[in-house]
Amino acid sequence: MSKLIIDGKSYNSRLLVGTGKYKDLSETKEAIAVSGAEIVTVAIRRMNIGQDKKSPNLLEYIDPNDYTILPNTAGCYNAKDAIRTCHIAAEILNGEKLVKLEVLGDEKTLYPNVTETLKAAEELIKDDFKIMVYTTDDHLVAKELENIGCISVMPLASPIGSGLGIQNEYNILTIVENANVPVIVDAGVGTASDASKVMELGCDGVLMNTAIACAKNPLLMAEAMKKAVESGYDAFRAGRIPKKMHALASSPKDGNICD
Amino acid sequence: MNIILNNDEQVVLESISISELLEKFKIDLEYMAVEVNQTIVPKSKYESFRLKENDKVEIISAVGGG
Repeated sequence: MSKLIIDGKSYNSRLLVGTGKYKDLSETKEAIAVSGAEIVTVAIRRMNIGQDKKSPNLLEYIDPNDYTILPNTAGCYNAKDAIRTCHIAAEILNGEKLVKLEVLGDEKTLYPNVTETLKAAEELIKDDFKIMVYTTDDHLVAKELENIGCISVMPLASPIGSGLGIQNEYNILTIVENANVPVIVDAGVGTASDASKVMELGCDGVLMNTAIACAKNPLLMAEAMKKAVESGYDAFRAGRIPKKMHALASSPKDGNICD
Repeated sequence: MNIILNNDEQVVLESISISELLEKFKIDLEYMAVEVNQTIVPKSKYESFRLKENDKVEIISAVGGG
């Protein structure tokens, strides 16, 4: 199986996972280990400051020495906030400049604000950030983001956390056809068949969080997603048969004893 | 003196350093960032950087997210 290359580093797994919404940090750690993911997203937030207790920190469970940590700019609605968040992320991760840029448009849909996303990407690239970018399913926008130097485009398949699956198959396909950087579907996956579908379309990977973290059994879903991504990728490479209107018998006509 | 720490008012010693502030609030993390008035203070400056009255300090880390 050929590897996923992101920022010059090769990965065996084409499944990228988030770390939000788990019951606790132990479950986060276990589910991510089961998923086989090697690239893991995190959010950047103010710490809870108390005088007494030392609250556990995510990166004590998900060790940056074991995983590629991909900080996101979730919660940012303009370029300025997203740029600030990326600089903070780089400071947190001791200079690592790989980030998932997402600049949101509104709370209801969490759709990307393309104008602000482009503005932020341009600024961040000047500062040597390596941008994986959450974007709409518009191939022209995806191409523009690639042209300005984003290292991966991450279109949504349906709204973040919706679990609606792939609602824009042909748009994703067009992005895949046109892109020269890895296309990683980010958002919309609800269950394993959705992840397979993404890979069968020829995407380079799929990123998910809610589908695993909010499943009744997150560890089992993590395993299911791992298999789904692998089998979908294999099916894409194997090449599916064309769809036909009518039946085509699998057994030979010759020698049929049913005259 | 007063500072704003992660959006809350706090009373701290005059000219407290970032290192002293982290010690006071029992923060000992390998992966974190500090901003003072929206400018990042690099880890190498925690000892020498001293806060002033009304400084707005943010102590930030990574949390679960997608």
